[in-house]
Amino acid sequence: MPIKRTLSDRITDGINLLLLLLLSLVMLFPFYYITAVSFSSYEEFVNTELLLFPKAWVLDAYRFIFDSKEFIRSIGVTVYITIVGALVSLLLTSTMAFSLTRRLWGQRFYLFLVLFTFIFGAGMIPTYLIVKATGLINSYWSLIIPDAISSFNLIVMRQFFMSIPEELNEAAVIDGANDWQIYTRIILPLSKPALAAFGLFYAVGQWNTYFNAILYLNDPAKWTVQVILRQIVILDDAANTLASAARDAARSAHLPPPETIGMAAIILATIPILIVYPFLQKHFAKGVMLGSVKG
Amino acid sequence: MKTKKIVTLLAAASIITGLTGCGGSNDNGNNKPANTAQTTDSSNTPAATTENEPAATNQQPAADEKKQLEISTIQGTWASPLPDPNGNGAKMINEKFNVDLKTQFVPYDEYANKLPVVMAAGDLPDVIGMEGVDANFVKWAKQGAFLPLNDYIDKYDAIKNIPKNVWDAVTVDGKIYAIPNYFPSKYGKKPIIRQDWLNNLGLSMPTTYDELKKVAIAFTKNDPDKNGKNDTLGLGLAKSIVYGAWMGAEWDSGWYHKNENGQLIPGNISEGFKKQVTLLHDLYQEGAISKDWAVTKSADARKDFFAGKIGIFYEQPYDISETRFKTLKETNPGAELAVIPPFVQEDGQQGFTGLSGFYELHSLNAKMADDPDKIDRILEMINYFMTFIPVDQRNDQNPEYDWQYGGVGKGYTMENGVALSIDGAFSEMPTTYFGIRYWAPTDEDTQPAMVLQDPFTKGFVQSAVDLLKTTKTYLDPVNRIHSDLLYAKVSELDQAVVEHTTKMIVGQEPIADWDKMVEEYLNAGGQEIIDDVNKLLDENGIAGEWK
Repeated sequence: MPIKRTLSDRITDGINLLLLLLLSLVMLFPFYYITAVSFSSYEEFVNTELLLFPKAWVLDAYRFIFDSKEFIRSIGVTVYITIVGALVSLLLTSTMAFSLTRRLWGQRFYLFLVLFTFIFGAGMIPTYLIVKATGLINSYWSLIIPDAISSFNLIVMRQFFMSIPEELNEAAVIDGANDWQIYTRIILPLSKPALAAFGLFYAVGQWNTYFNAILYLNDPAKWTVQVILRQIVILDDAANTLASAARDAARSAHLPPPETIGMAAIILATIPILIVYPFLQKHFAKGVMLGSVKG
Repeated sequence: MKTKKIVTLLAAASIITGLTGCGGSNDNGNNKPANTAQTTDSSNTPAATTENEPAATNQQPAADEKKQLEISTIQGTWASPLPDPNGNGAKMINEKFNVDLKTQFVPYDEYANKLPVVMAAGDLPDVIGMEGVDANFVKWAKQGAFLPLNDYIDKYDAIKNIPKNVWDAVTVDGKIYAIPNYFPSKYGKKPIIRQDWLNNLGLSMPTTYDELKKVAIAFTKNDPDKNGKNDTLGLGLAKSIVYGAWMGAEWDSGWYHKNENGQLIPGNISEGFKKQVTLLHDLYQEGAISKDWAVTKSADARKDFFAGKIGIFYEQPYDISETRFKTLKETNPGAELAVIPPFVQEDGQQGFTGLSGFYELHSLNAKMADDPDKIDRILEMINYFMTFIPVDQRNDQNPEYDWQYGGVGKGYTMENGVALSIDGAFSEMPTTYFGIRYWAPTDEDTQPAMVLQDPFTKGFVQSAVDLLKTTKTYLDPVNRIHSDLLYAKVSELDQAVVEHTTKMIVGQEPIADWDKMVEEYLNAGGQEIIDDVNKLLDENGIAGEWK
């Protein structure tokens, strides 16, 4: 670094460093707190104002979760729909985005259809009716297909494909490549960062599947981890009305498990998707710039 | 350079946690409706009651005479994990009643979102459970989605004994559209106090708001737990004024007071409620309520109470969790709890507002109208599960109880002569699958203390039950009518009242502005609601009553 750093540079850096550190701590703190509580005993949690470092690290909460089959099963379900869902979404989004970059008859019309859904959603009941009519109710595909293509991602991906120089395309055509070959041999290999970024978006979306699972899946054995998590860390907040009094009373028969278990469940439901990030980080950093500069 | 790396890493990590965090709360479905009604299912708790002719009333069908019927249900539940639709309990029902039961359970958190979609999609099951009577129930009943049951209920012993005031709640335009599920009206939340703190400070049980104020302040300032630290609060309060400081029907939010025109008005704009708000204001000034109460969740306020840091809070003597009480007793071995008896009101009455007398209901699909066999089979099953078994007979010696709870060792175990449900064994119990409670002849018959094991909890519940036995209960008549206007507008109006009263308690708004707030309420549609409610009450000849 040949550039000489002045004192004011150093001070600015120092302040930046400090602020960033503080910001990081503010964001990491809840995560740390949850971890600490999940490893503490319930007695200690109840009797400590703000539990930052458990006196005794216990695994009771985790043992409880691993003993209950449903949490593990729901993680399995979620991993399945995350992987399959992300792959299906990537395939459909990239093929459609690619075809919308070709000079096709009616291309603008199809693009308009996509943009239309971007602005106007169908609403819950019509969507449910379609899912029902297509026989997807109670099938994992009901979580994957209706949300397989996000219009926003589609448009950004199309934009990215269009930024790939037209000359490459022409060269390929001259070499005798057809559209499919151009797609698989040229566009896809050049679009790895985009695919990684959108794959991640789709995967996180699927990982967080919650209401759709309740809506479309009638069999509780098929529910995703977020549904189970919600049941474990259910917010048990009372209201002061007489109607809620009976509910409150009735509900206490099904108390959510102690907070420590809730915290452990949060950790277990967050860690797997968190682990994916570092591996995709380098692509991800490129991916966020997608479509911002036109080639 | 190294620090830079560390900072980048930290920043990256925090962004990631931030991202996943947001994602989590924000489910990716495009249509997630705002989180609406939360609900409950309490069906599975062994409730308690008396009266002794269970065997006589069960109509055990002679299976071979009837053809097998497929019966589908949808209902909400608080149970976790959810019952397995193909569990042992379901198979037992299939066998006993010669049916093929197809159940669908939905957590109550989302039930209010899912049910309307299922209704709109038109594939409604035969039996539809709901948490309570709300605008949707009335709307669907009026649209003809549910089967009117007036002509059927007299045939079933347990069902026909449901009291009139409860039938009123599920009656729309003179037709009964649902079978309500029992819930004792007496055993809702009640104010409870640390009796040992009173003793430590030489104070007596408060009987007026002035005394209550003194007690709460003494609890805050005079070290009632004798630990030498200034770490206690008089009264536990959570945001939206949960549960407040009502000590009887006069000060509660139920419809009790009348205005100068003789119309019944909602409690939260009454003079009684103003008194409660004034007390809370004074306590807040004295530091006897948490400074953060306006943003505290009720669960956190309760946690503080059961950690022994708060002197007065609310708890019900029915269907309670022993865990919390045990924790309190372990950390505060001297703890003693008592229900604060209701204060004498200006009109001479003395008692708490009761609950509506039911919780959850089951409607039948109107499409079944041409299938009397099916209607009969369903009602027979509901009647069977509703037929009361006295608490002292709920054990392995009683064949009905034993069957309903899946058999000893599978669904429940016997301990000290009391049947205890096995944790997580819902799917073994036939009773789970309909979610029907025994209909107790009287609230006392539920004997809530009998089913408890922990002596501290048991003692508290028994003392509460004994106190409430001799206390009157006010039955709010508004539970028994259906005002569309009330359903549509009241929550918004109530929200405004909560905001004003919250400000009054913390001193941002003078209590002298009370009348202004009431006027605002009335002008914003409150008067129309009051007119409509009173009109409906008059038309149906329903009035508030003390029982």
